[in-house]
Amino acid sequence: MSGDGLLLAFRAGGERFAVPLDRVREAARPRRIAPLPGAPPEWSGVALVRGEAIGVIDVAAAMGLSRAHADPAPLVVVLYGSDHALLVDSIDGVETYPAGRVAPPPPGRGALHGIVAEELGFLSLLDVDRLAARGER
Amino acid sequence: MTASGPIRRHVLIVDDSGPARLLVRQALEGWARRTGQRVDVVEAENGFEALRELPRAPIDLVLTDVNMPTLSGLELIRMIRSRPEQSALPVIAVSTERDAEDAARARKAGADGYLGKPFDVETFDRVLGEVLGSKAPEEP
Amino acid sequence: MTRPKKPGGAFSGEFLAEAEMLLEEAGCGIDALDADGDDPNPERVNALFRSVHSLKGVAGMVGYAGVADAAHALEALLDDLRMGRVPASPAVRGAVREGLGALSTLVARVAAGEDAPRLETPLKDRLEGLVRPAEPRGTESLRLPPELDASLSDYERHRASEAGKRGKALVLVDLDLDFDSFDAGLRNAMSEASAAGELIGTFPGTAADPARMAFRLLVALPPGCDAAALGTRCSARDVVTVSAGRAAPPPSAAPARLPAAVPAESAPPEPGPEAAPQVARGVVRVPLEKVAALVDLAGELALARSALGRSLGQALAGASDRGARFEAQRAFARLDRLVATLGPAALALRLVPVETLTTRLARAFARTASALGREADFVVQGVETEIDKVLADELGDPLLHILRNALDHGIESPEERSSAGKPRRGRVALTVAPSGREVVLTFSDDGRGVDAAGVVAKARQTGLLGATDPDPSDPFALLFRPGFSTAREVSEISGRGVGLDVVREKLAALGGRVSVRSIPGSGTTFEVVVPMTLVLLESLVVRVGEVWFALPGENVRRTLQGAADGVEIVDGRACFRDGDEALPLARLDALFGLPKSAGSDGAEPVVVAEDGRRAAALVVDAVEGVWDLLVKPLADSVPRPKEIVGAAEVPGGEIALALDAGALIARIHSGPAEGRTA
Repeated sequence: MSGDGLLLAFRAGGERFAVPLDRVREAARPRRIAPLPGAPPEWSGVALVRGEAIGVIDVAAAMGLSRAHADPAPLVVVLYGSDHALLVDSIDGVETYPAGRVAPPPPGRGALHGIVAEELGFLSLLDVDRLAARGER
Repeated sequence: MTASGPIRRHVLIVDDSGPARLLVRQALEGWARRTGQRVDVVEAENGFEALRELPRAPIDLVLTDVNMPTLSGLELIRMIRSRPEQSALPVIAVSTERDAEDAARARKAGADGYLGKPFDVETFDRVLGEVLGSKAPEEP
Repeated sequence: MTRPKKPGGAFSGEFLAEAEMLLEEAGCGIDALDADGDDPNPERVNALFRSVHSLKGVAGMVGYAGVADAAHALEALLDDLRMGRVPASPAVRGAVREGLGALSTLVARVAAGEDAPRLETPLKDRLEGLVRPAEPRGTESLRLPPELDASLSDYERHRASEAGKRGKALVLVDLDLDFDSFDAGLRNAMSEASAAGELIGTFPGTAADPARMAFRLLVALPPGCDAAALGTRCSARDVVTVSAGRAAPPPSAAPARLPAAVPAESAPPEPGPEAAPQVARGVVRVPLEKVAALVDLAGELALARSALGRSLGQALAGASDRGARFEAQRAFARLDRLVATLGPAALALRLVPVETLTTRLARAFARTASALGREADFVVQGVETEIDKVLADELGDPLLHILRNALDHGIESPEERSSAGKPRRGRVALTVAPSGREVVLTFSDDGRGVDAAGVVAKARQTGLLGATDPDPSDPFALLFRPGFSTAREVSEISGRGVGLDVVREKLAALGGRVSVRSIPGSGTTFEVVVPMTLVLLESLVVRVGEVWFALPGENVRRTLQGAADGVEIVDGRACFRDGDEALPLARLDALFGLPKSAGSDGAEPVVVAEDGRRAAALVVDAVEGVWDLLVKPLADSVPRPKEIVGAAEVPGGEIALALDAGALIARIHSGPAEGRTA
């Protein structure tokens, strides 16, 4: 992960997460996410974004948080360099990478690069490649 | 937005090959990350599109493939150099060759720098550094 | 990261698409060069050089060093050829062809999944013996304006000097174009220049107004060509003749003396403008992804239209103003018609003549025939038939396999043919014809044919057919079963273990099918049917609980509502009786581990699916309808059952998961024994 880039911060399952901004293609509200039979629970299904079929990973479920409630207009963050999108609750915005404040992730917290202590809780820096790879067989 | 305003470069990539444009773009984005800058990339598939894009957007740097059908990279560079408002625009020729002869050909046409494909990160950074110097692009 | 660690990496798909396109271009280029003989069209040689150069570039960038090395060796030869350092002799052209063949093999090996294919003997070594360098040439002054002379590239200088030696005129065409339309003006002038003579280079001109675009074309014109007329056709501001052509023969004038400077053995002076300009007029090359975007938009527009139609119908039902209702209906009907024509019009942009595919097949056929020692002709009819560009690319491999099969197992050796009273030369005829929304490709050979009884016997021997199974109604269908091969020995050409089953699978993946018929002693006919376009797929949409699925319409034999009475138990398995066939039956929800739906009471619909080989019955909760769907592929990295290959939006906004019928039927046939007594 780059040490000096920008981040896109968002919320999922009540917690704050961020991914490198240069991995973000767009945020979209697909009309539907069709469930995929046989997929691991963190995969919420398939969405069509700009005519492309994209696998959607539920960040909350993947991080062991209570699953995002079924949103009538789900919000996804579509990533570059993978065929996936992240299902999130809301987007906080673009933020600078808090260099010097990043601590290694606690063991067992899944696909994270690191965490940053904040006034109210933590900002978790997601390792998007590892997140997607976890579901693969 | 809480960004402290990194240097922002507007770069035009000209190549008739989609994968090649993608690879140059990735290299450029990596370079921007390593040097704490941001890049806005405009892509053109041929010399015609490039000539059309140039006056349209505030371009700070051109990376053009040498070997393109109809209007070659050398022909494009000659055209850029002939336009008064673009005559000082930094141009890097990107070619499959890595020999001095080809580099000389590109420089003769008016290129400021030369990159042989495939290039590694160090070469890419060095050539961009040489061509752009340390000066920031002029921002309005 | 500029160079992925694993060769190709994320780019292997793009690399292959690009490499195959470049090899295709190069293949057409060498064909044209052969037609030109010893005096090749320089623009064609340069285009060939460029294709191989680009291939080297893209191979190097994605990390296929072996491909890049081979391309480099061939490129060096082509550079010599375009710079006049070697002559375009048959030996050199043969070497170019050999080099392209070697590159095609390497690319095919990448396509087959090899990480780093390399040639065992470097191409350079193979080409060296074939090439005889020409005499070195001197350089002389070209009398060009100094600023232009200073900026000439080596190649441009060579072409200009060559033109002078051949008695051609060198002219400068000055263009002064409006910025808003300069590209159209420049393209037009470039193609006029290429058509009239040879466009050597494009240079900056001097614009009176910096807001305008000025260009200067350096053009070599054959003797007798009117430079002023070219200027008019180019809408040039000015035309300057730098050096006049020598000894331009006045049209139909008497003195038949060759210009002294032209050696007697070189080509005769061209009569008037050079023959056969290679510029296709009124043709625009559009990248496939742009076409795909347009097709997608047309599809989405069609979906929006359907949704609008439904809601409009509901809204109008309650409207009291009959005049307004009538107007709205009429406007919608017009929109409906336009949208309905837009989709096919957009799709038609993807169509290319099947000739792009058949020329490739013809080349491979000639190579294979000579490798096998067969004497055979390949005759193609219907090359103008149009087919989806993607299909034209994808069909290469399976069709080549059929051709190789015909040469390897069908066409006999010349001796065998003579003694059977046949002409020594065999023949494979390919007929391509459109049939509705499909294209039919029929390969007929006049070889030894296949004996149906032999096929059945072989299938019993290998266990494909049980001893007690009845003879199948179409014994030749057994040829496409995995593990079936009639080859008496493993052959170099058809390969080991790669049988016609692979052809069938590949065609099925493209929405196509293949069948074979044969008369022993007189020949075999393969019939391949593929959809004309890959994009819109007529699909049956079914629902299980909340999950929607789409099954290609061509794989649906029938759907029956509440067909519980067709279910019987055979060998402890639930089977569905369809006519005289007992088909294995499965519930779609059980197959995919979905929660069992509430109303499973035997009244649900049954879908009978077939894939040209076998059939199976599927129980679903509801059949939602039949639509033409835009099926989008789903990346391999998205975890799911392998029967789900993509997703498509159904009118109304639902997403249906697209099913691969072949894989689904295979899964039902192999169990899990759904319905077996618990």
